[in-house]
Parts: sequence; C-alpha cells; structure tokens
Amino acid sequence: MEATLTTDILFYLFSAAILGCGLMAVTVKNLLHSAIALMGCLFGTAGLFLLLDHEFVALMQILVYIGGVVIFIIYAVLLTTHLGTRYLPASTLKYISGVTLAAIVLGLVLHIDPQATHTAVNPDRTATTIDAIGYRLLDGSTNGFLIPFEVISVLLLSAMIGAATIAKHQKPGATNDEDETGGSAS
Amino acid sequence: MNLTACLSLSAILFSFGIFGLMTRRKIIAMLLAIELMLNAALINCVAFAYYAPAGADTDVGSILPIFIVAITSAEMAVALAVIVAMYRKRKVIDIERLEDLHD
Repeated sequence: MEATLTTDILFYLFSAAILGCGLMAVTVKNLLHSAIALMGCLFGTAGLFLLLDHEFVALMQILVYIGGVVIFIIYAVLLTTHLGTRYLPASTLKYISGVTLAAIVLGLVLHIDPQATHTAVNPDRTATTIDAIGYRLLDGSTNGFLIPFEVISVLLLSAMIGAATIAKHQKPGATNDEDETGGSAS
Repeated sequence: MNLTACLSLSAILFSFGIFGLMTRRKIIAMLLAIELMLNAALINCVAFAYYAPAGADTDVGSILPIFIVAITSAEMAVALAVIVAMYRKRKVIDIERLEDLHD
C-alpha cells in the first residue's frame, strides 16, 4: 500500500491494538480473558499484514490462528481450570527475572534494528499473488519449496494422530499407571 | 510506517512473550506467551518482505509464514493434548507442582 498519512495512522492504531492486547494476554488473571486478548492481538496483526500487502498471510492468520489455535486454547482452558478463574500468582523472583530477561532481549533487538539498511519500499514492487505462492510451494527445483511442503504435511498428520492418541480417555486401571498419588479416576 | 517501526513493534511483542513465559505458572498461559512470540516472528517475516530491496525474492515472505503457522498448529495440538491428559490424571496444571515429572 502507498505510504500515506492514512497508512501511518492505521499502522499506529494496529500497533497500539497489538501491544495493548499482547500485554493483556500475559498479565490478566483470568485465563479465559487472556485467551480473548490474544485473539485481539492476532486480529491486529492480521490488519497489519493487510497494510503490508500480504493478504494471504492475513487470511491465514485469521483462519488458522484465530479460528483454530485460539479456539483450541479456549477449549483446553474450559476443560482444565473451571472457567480459568483460579489464579496462581508468580513469586517476586520470577517477576524480577521475567522483567530482566524481557528487557535484555528488547534492548538487544532494539540496538540491532536501527542498523537495517533497506528502509525504503522498492518503488516497482508487486504484491505476492496466491497463484505465485502455490506455484512456488509445488516447484521441485532448487528455487521451490516442494520438499518442505511435503514434510510439513507429514508433520501435521503425525501431530494430529499423536494428539488424538495422547488425549484419548483411558480406562482407569487398564494401563501401566504407576503413580502412587492416587489421582486417577476421581 | 517504516521498517524500523515494524521491527520495533515485533521486538516489543517478543519481549512481552518472554515476560509471560517467565512469570506465568499455568502451562496453558505459557503456551499463550509462546504464541505471542511466534506472532512477533511472523511480523518480522512480512515486514522484511515488504521492505525488501529491488530484485529480492519477496514470495518467501508469504511462504515462510505457512511453515511457521503449520508448525505452531502441530505444536499446540500436541501440547494441549498433553495438558488435557495430564489434568485428567493428576488434576494439576501448575508447573511448580509438576516437579515430580522427572522422577
């Protein structure tokens, strides 16, 4: 998109939404609320991708992340924590170490970032079309991504089968469970 | 809007993710923080593709996110399945009470 005042304003609006929702997602006590804040953060990111001329990535963000992963997280929250209300506070030491580590990483990255040299948009750039993405993914030459594409499909299939196997409800006492805490079948 | 602004945005988002990963005690909340960090990586990919110099291969800016999203989905599916199975067995999702997992 052309760099105009409108895109600047939109960029800062989306940035504010992303950062606000991101901060909420890691600080809010109720886990369900933080999952919804993550949803807002991902929506803001999708808007940013539209602003940066990557419509395909924006659509994928909405379909897969918001429609799939976040809904999945919400299901897991509802299944495990009684509406996510029980809050577990972290120790002060963990807070200090978390803030310190985040500040160190932020300082390092912000120290490196301004040294990026190509900061102007290439004037005769063209937006990537979905056709081009499809051809590149199925291109078997050294320029294409055929093998990673196939590997990722096998990975997804095995992850799905593995997840279904792990989460399958086991009959109490039918397997080799050795925990002496007696937490099963309650 | 320029490259430095986009990269700064993603750096700040990444540091939020690290903060969440260090301070949260529920496993699901930690996964949520990891999700934020991956989102920051996606922003980097797209921003670099948008501000690429002439002659660069900008299609990769759309293809790399496909792989990132696919790997994230696989990771989330397995991790949440493990969490649900663990909760069913022990009724605990607090990482500080799961220390006996390594025994």
